[in-house]
Order: sequence, then structure tokens, then C-alpha cells
Amino acid sequence: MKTSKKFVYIFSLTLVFFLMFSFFTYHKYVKYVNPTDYVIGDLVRMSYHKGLALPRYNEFNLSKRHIHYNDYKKQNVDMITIGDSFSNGGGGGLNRYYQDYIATYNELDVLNIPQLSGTNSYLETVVLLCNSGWLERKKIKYVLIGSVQRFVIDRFAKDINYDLNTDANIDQEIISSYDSYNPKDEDKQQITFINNLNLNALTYNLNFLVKGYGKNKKYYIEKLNNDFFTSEIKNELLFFYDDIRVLKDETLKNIKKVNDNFNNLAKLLSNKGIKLYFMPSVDKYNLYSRYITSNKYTQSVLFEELRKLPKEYILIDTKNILSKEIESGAKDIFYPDETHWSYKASKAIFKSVKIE
Amino acid sequence: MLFNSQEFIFLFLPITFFLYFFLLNRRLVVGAKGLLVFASLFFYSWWNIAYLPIILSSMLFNYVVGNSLNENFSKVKVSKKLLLGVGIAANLSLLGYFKYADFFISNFNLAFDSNMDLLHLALPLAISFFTFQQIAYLVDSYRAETKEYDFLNYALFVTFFPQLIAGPIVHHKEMMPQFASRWNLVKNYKNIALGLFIFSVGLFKKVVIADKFAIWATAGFDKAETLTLIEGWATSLSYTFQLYFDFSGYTDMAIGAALLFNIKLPINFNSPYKAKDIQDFWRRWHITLSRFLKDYIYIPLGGNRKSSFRTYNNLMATFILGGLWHGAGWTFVFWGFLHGAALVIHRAWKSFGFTMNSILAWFITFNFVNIAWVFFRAKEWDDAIKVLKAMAGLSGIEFSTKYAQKLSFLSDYGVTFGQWLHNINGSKSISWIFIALLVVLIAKNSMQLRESFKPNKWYLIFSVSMALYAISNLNKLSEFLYFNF
Repeated sequence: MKTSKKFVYIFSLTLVFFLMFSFFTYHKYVKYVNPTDYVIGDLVRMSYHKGLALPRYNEFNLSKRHIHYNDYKKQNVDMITIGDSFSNGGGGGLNRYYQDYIATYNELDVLNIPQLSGTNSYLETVVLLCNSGWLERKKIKYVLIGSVQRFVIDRFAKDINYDLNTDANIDQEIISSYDSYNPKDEDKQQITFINNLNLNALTYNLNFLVKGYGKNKKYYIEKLNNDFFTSEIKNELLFFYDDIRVLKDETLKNIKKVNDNFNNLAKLLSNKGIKLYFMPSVDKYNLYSRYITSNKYTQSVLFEELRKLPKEYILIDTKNILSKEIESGAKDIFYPDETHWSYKASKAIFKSVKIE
Repeated sequence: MLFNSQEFIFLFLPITFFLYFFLLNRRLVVGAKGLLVFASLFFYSWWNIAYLPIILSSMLFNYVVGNSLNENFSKVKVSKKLLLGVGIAANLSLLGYFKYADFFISNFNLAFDSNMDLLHLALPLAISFFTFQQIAYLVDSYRAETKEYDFLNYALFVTFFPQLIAGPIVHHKEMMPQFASRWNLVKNYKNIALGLFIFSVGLFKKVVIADKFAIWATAGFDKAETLTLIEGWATSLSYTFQLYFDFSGYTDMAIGAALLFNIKLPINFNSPYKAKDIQDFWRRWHITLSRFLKDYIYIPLGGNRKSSFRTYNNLMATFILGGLWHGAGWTFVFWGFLHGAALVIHRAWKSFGFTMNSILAWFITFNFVNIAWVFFRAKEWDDAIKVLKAMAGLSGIEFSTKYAQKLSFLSDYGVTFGQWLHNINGSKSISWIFIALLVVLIAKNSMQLRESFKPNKWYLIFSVSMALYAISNLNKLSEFLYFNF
């Protein structure tokens, strides 16, 4: 009986301690990085590195907005864009879609479309739209393919089927695509103070405290030699581990394959009077790497090599444009807590690049 | 309210426990039992209070009929058999109205090309369980096997929250003495420690294991049309393990919670996937339901006391009804039919004196159960056929692109290469299935663990770890990146 009583008391006390720990950690970290009434960066949500958080609200103040695929009414447009979270407002905050800057600065009707089923990349989706006559029917003049730098090789250095075609109702497929970047309220998970993230919040922060800068789980935290952000901590760089992991794939052969694929698509489109833009979104690490104090990691060569190759398409050199912004002292070009750039980057890029 | 919810674990259960024993400490026995009944009804009404009158009226009705069937019967001027018949019919009517009305209407419409409107009634929570439990009570009263007739104890027998929602289906005679016993009215730390241990094991089974398998099973059955061979098997096996860990986990939690109040519920699972024949399976799976089906359907139908032909018929009838009890649909009926047929074949096999290698016997039994679950889980007949087609390799075979070069010769035989198990988002499902199989075959089940339980530090660490890990995962979020979509 005595040991049973001890068992029950220790069990119960552990639960009480667990509740107190959960309550404390939730309010100190987890609630802050999983907000419901404002937006916060994905990297700070992964790292619980609160000092780099830059809370923001999704707002718009530009004169013209682009059309997101869920709002598409089958109308004709001047330009289509297709890409990953960078093309889908992943960073949140003010003017989160770069397409709104294109629409405003160039007075264009811009439609952002999803990758269509039966295609292996955004390139094949555009091939499908071209071969099916959809681009001509919609009077499209410009196509922009976007991709975060770290997936450029994986997405575009592969064989593309330039004969893809379809009889399907493309308008309908575009409209009915599920928008995973903007989950509906009912799909969003509600968090309570007892959850599976509390322990991570504690261990990740302890780990950083003990180990210091470098790689931790799926992200890196590095010290910068200047203040580049307006968050509480201004001179630390938080970036996703793939920014470095995939650099080994940036071989000349792969980069040439990417260039060839874009050239082939550009030729296909130019026969129909359509211009192709390719916008690789420079990785956060790549953009800020030269400011990392004692940087021991590999350097990216994607933009440098791509610049040298002959092109039938227009390359939007985001690394070059944004590097100049940073050099001129601009802060928060990338959000400190995000893998995505901020509206300042979109603004700078499309002030520099005219769609014509 | 669910056992695997934060409000149950941190509010309802501890508050009920402390208030119950506080009242007992003050020697307020009636008040304590009343509190337990009230708490159970609160637990029942948590989702929808609209069904509270149904359980209350069912309870009152059966109490009156049950009392009339016992020695007080002389006061009532009707035949005992008639009264029992009326009582059972009333219970079945209630169940039939809420659970089977739309099933019968839609089949009537189909058979007679008519257009009767469906009732679209929401099924009152636990109606199948409390109806069966009370039918058993009426039959036991008729057989003069019931001895205790206090209404408060009866209300507790029907509503006692640990077993109210999903069983075990208990007999009046195994519960009433426990509610009446004075020994059970004092806090018993041995029972509490054991209860916390069993509850933790059950919570872990449900939250960590079953809910993981549920993701793959749900995805697979939702995309039944596009499943390939391996995805088909991963889907059906995921469901097979989901169902076992879910139901047995829930039962463990029920047994554990009941023990806190010094009530011992009967065991309901005994490693069913170790069974080497289908009869053995039903001795191990949902034991209290099997007991009910045997005592109140199979034996009254004649059991095996008549000819072999009649025995086979009785088995089939029992299992078809058992299938229908699980759900109002032809897939459930067919599932019951499959199990009935398997039992008939097994009985005939035994009567001829045939034997089988025990590994082969286990393999056949496990696979039969797994395949039969496909009908149990599928929403529609067509979905079940599609999953089975995939399992038979008729919807294509796909391996991971990782092996595309090494196994390229397989392309000549129609094998394709793609993202591994992408239809069910289950790249890890195969490993989990193997681990789960090992666990159900090798590890001690919770009843064996209960036997060997000692309130020492190892069991404490084990229980606390499982409980905390499971509780943390009740509200599971991922640290996802947007670009992973």
C-alpha cells in the first residue's frame, strides 16, 4: 500500500509539474511563435529564437492587385506567374505578393496560377498551357516562372516533355486548385497550452544557449557583421538548412540543363509572341553569406554561372538587385524570422525590372 | 467527452475523483454515488445534451421492466415472457429508429423503386452499448439472475462513465455487487496506481499509435481509386492496426479510469492478432461483445445443441446480426457474413479432424481478418472493392524512384516508379506496420502488464513517460515551412 501511495503521488506531482512547465513554455515561446492575430516567420516558428521575430499583419496598399487562382473568373490577362511559396505570398505582411508590384508598376492584369496535375514542374505546366492553346486564348503576353533558389536544380535540371497537351478544362482546374498557402480558417490548427511543441521550445533554446551559432535541427543561426534587421536582435541570420545542403547540386552541368530548359520553353513561347521571365528567388544564406562573421560554409554559384550563359528568356537576377539594396543600407530585405523576402525586396526587384 | 481529451484528463476525471471520495469520507454514500451518476450524465451530455432524455428514459423504462421481471413480478398481471418480449422490443425499436431507420428506408426505396424521404437522424451517443447492456439486464432478470434492485446502483450500472461510450459491455451481476460493496467505498491506492498505469498505456496506444495509423488509413480509403499494390496493403494494414490500438487503447483507458473508483471492468481484448483460427480471434477480440452475442443470440437460437446444419445457421445469423450492430450498412452486414462463413468453415474443418501448421494458421487468420476489415472500414461497397483490387495488384505496382535504376527491368512487367506511398502520405507507414506487428505478436498486452504490475520506479517511469508523451500529442502541431507544400 505504501509504495502504491508513493506511485500515485509521484505520478500526480509529475503531471502537475508538467502542467506548470507547459503553461510557462507556452506563454513564453510557443504562443508567441504560433500567433492567431498576426503573422510571424516560419523560421522563428521552427527555432523559437524569439529575438529575431518580426510580427506583422497581412495588409495591402498598392493601387492594383493581381488575381490569385482561387479568385480567377476566366477573364483574359496580360501575364501569368507560377511558382512556389514566394509566388504565393509565403512571407506574409505588407504587400506579400510580388505580383501586386508587377500589376501596379506596369499596369498589367496578372494572374498567379498553380502547378497543374499531370506535369512534373512549373515548366511543364507552361508547356501544357502553350500546347493546348490556352495562353493564346487568354491573350497572355508574359509568363513568369518563379522558384526559390534551393529548388531550382531539383525542379528544372530534368527532362521536360515539350509535347504535353490536354483536352481538360484548364480554367476550371485553375479555379478549383486547393490553395495550401492560404489555409481556410477551419483548416488551421488551434493550439492549447498543452501541446507537442513546448518541449521543443525548451530544448532548442537550451541547445542554442549551450552550442551557440551554427546548425541546429533544420536551421542555422549565424552572427552577421552589421545590423541588417529591425527585430530585437538585429545582427543574426536565421536560415533554412537546405540553403547550404543543396549547394552541392549547383554543378555547371545542372545549371546548364536549367538554362537549356528555359531557352527551349522561351522558344516555344516566342512562336506565340509571349515573353518568358525566370525569377529564381535568391536564398537567404546566399544573399547574406558575405556578411557572416567567420563563414566556413560553401558559397553558391547559381546566379554567377547562370548570368554567363546565353539566354532566350529574361533572367530576373534577384541576387544582384537585392545585394545592391543591402549594400545601400536597406534593412529587412528578407524578414529576419523568415525564409521569404519582404515587400521591400519585391518593390526593389520590380522597380528595377520593367515588364515590356 | 473523450478520454483522450485535455478536459477529461485534467478537469473532469480529477474533479470527479476528488469529489467522490470527499463525499465518501464524509460517509455520504448516496451523495457520492449520486455525484458519480450526475458526472456520468454530464460526461454523456458534453457533446449534445439533446440525447440526455433518451438515455434517462431508456434507463427508467428498463429499470421498471427489469424489476417487474424479478420476484416482485407477482404484482404485475401479465406473462413474464410477454413482458420480456415487450422490453426487448422496446429497446430494439429505440435502436432501430435511431440507427437503422435510414438504412431500411433506403433499401425499401431501392427494392420498390419508391421515394420515401430519409429521416437523417443523428445517432445518439453510445445507444448501441447501453441498449445491449440493458437487454442483457432484462434477460438476466427474467432468468432470475439479478439480485440487487437499488435504482441509484442501477443508474450507475448503466451510466458509469468509464464504460458508457464504448464498453466493455458489462453484466448487471458483475457490476452491482461492486457498486454495493462497502470495501469499494474507500480510496484504494493499489487500485489507483494500477488504474493510472493502465490508463497511461491506453492513452499512448490511442493517441500515439492508433492516431498515426489513422492518417494513412484515412488517406488510403479516401483515395481508393488511385492506390497501387503496396499502397493498398499499407492502407488495409494501417486500418487493421488503427482499429486494434484505438479500441483496445480506449478500453484500457476505461478499465484504468474505473479502477480509480475501485470498479473492475472485464477485459475486452487479449492479443487478438495472435489468434491462430477465427474462433480463437473472437475469444480475444471485443470479448464482452462476443460474450453478449453468444449468451443472448447464439445460445437462444439453439447454439450447437441441434444438428450441424442448424449450428452453422445459428453462427451465420449471430455474426450477420453482429455485423449489423456495428453499423447500418451492407458493408457491415457483409463483414459479419464473412466472419460467420469463416467460423462455419473452421467448425467444419475441425469436425473433419484436419490440422494445420500453426504459423500458416496464424497467417491465414490474420490476413482474413485484415481483408475483412476493408469492408468494415469502407464507406461504400465500391471503395472496398477498389482497395481490394489494389491489394490484388490489379491497379498497378509502383516502387520508389530510388530504385528506378536498379530495378529498371521491372518496367517491362508494368511496374512503375514514383514517390513512395504518396497516395497515403505514408513513406513511414511500412516501418510502423512492421513495428506494430512485432508489438502485437511479441509484447505483453495490457492485461498481462496489469498482472505483472508493481508500483516500483520502473513502472512509474514507464507510465509517466507514456502519459506525458501522449498528453503532449493530444494537441499536435508541426513546425512546418510554407514551402514544403
